[in-house]
Amino acid sequence: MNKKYQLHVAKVKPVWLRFLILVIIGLPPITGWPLTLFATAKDPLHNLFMWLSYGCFIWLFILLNTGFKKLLSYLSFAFLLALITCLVGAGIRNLIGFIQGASRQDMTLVSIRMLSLFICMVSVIPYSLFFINCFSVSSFISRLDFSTVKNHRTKIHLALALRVFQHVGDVTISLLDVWREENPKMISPRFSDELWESRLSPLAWLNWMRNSAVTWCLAMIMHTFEAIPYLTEEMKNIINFRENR
Amino acid sequence: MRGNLDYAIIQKKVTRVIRLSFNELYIWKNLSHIHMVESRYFVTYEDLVGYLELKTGFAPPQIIEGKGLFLGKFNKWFTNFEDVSSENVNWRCIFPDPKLNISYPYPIDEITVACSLCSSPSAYDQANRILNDYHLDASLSKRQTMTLSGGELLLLSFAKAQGLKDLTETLYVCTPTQWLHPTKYFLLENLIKEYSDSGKTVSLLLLEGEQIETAPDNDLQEQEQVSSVQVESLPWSLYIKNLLKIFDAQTFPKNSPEKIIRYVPADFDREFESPTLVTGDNGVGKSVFVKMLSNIYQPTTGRIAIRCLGNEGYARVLMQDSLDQLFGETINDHFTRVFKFDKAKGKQARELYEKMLDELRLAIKTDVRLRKMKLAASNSGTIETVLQVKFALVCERLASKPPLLILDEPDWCLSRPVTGLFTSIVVNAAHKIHIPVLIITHLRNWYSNLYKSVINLKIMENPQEVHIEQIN
Repeated sequence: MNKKYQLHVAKVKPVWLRFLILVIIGLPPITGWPLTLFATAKDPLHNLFMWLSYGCFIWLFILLNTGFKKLLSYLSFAFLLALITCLVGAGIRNLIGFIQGASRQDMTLVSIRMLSLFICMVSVIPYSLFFINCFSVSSFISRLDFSTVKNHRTKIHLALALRVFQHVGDVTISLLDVWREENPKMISPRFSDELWESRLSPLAWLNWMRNSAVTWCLAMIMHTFEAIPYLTEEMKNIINFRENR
Repeated sequence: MRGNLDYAIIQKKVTRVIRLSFNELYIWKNLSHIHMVESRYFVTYEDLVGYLELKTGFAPPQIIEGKGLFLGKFNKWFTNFEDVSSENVNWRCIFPDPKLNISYPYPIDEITVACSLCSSPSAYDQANRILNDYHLDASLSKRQTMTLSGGELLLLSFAKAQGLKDLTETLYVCTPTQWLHPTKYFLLENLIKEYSDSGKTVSLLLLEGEQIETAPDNDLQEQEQVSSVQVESLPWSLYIKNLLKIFDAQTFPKNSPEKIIRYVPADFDREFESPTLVTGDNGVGKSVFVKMLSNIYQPTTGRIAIRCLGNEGYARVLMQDSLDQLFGETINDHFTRVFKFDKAKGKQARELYEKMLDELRLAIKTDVRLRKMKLAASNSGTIETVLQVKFALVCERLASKPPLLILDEPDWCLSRPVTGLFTSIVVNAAHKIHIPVLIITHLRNWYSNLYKSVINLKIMENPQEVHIEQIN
C-alpha cells in the first residue's frame, strides 16, 4: 500500500484520545447508533445494505492503518468464524423450521437474519482485533506506578485483560497450524471414509463442523487461560520488588 | 570444549557426585557453594514439574490435565489470585515450554519492560544490548514472538531472565538443552554467571541424560545401556527443487522485516535410511522445513516430494510442543473426535497405542531402572503422562499411512532413557508398516544407537540461504 495514504491511529497520543477515536468508530456494533437512525423495520434488505456499507468502511479504515496483508489475515479469521457460526446456525434453524412446517417467508427471514449476523461478524471481528492491537501492554506496564497501592488492582487487571485479548491472536495462529496438520482440508476431517457414505452426509458434516467449533472454542479458551497464571506470577514479582524498594 | 556449557571447569571443583538412585536425582553437591548453582536431575517431566511446584508454590493448571480438570483448577486459581501483593514472589523460572516464559508480543517489548522495571535509565538501548548478547539481532527483536522458533524463544527467555535479574533472587532453569543447539550452551553459562556474580541462586532442573553433552564419560557409558528396541533401517527418498519460503514483512502494529529462506542446493535428490536425523543451529529453518514437508506451510516457490516404497504424499508430524496437538482433549476424547468418520482406522490406532504401551510395560518389567518411573497413567481415571500423549499422537499419524513420519524434537519433556525407549518403539512400529521416520533434534548423542542417516541444515554466507547436506 502506498505509504502516502497510510493512517497511524495506533500512534495517536495521548492514549485516551486514541481510545476515544476507536470507540467512536466502533460505536455502531456496540450501540447500534447512528445506524439505527437510518434503519427501517419494513425493509430488511435496506438494513442489510446499511450494515454492509458500514462493514466496507471498517475494512477500509483497517486497510489504511495496517496494510493489505494484515487486513487479509484478520478477515480470514473473521470469515472462518462467521462461516462456521452462520452456516451451522442457518442449517439447524432451517431444519427445525422444516420439521415444524414453517412458512417460506419465515425461512427467508431466518436467512436474512443469518446474513445480517454474518456481515456484522466480518466487520466486528477484524475491528476488534485491530482495536486491541492499537494498544501496547508492554508500554502500559512500563508506565504503571506500582509504588502506590491506589488503583493497584484495577491497573493490573486492566493490563492482564489487554494482554489476554492480544494473546488470543497468538493462540489462534498456533492452533491453526495444529489443525491444518490434523485436517489438511481445514473444513473437512482427514479421516472421512464414512462421512460421505449416506444421504445424511451433509447433516453429519454440519455436526462435524459444530463439534469442531466447540473443540476450537475450548482449545482457545484453555490455551489463552494457560498463560494467565504465568503472567500474573510475573506481575507479583514486579510488585514485590517495587514494594520492597 | 568451548561453546558447550562450561561444566568442565565446574566439574574440577565438584568434590563428589552423590547418586541417590537412578530414578531419584543427582546432586552436584558443591555447585551451590561455588557458583550458587544447584543441578537436579529428574527421570520424568512429571517429577520435574512436581519438584518445581514444591519449591515455588506455583501450580498452574496444565493443558495435559484435560478440559474438565484444567478449567476447574483455573477457576480455583482465579478466585484466589486477587490478593496480588500478598505473596513474596522473588523467583523466576525458565519453564520447559519456552512460550510460557514470554509475556508480550515482541522480543524488544519483553526486554524493554524488564529493563524499565529495573529502573534502567535507557531501557530501550539496554534491551537491544541484552538481545544482542543472546544472539537475537535487530531483525529478530521486532518479529512477533509467535513466529520465533523454539530455540529462539528459549534464548529470549534467557535474555528476559537477565533483564529481570534485579527482581529475582532464585532462578530456575528447566530442561534447557532440549531446545538449544550445543553451540549456544555458553549463553546459558553466561546467564548463570550473571546471576551467581550478583550473589543470586540458580537452580538447573534437568532431565536425566541432559548432562551427556557436558558431563564425564562414565555417565555416558551408563546411559547407553538403557533398554531400547532394536530397529531395522528403511530406505526413503527426498526430492527438493528450487525451494523458497518468504515470510512477509509486517507493518502493524510494529514494522518487522521480511524473512526469506532459500534451501540450497536448488536441485536435491537423495536417498536416506530411516531413522534419519535432522540437525542444525537454532533458527536455521528446521521447523519451517518440516512444516513444508507436511504441507502446513506451502513453499513460496519450488516443490518437495517424499517417497518410500511407492508411497508418496505429504509427511505427518509430531510437533515439538506436542501437548498443543491434543487440542485440550484427553487421549480417549481425541481418538473419538479424530476417528469419528473412520472407525476402522480408529480401531487400528487404538490397538497400536495399546500395543506400544504394552511394549513400554515390557521394557519397564525387564529393566530395573525404569521400574520406579511413572511413565504411564495406571488407569483411565488418572492424568496421562507426556509420554502417553506422544504415543497417542504418533498412532493417530501412523493410521493415515503417510510416506514419512516426522518427530520434531521428540526428546522434549522426556529424559534420555525414556526418549530412547519412545523413539525405538515408534520407529519399530512405523517401519513395520513401511513408514520411515525423520527425527529433528539438538541432542544427536541421544540417538547414537538409533539413527541410520543424517541431514544437516546450516546457514551459508548469505544468511538467506540454508544448505541441506547429507552426512553419512
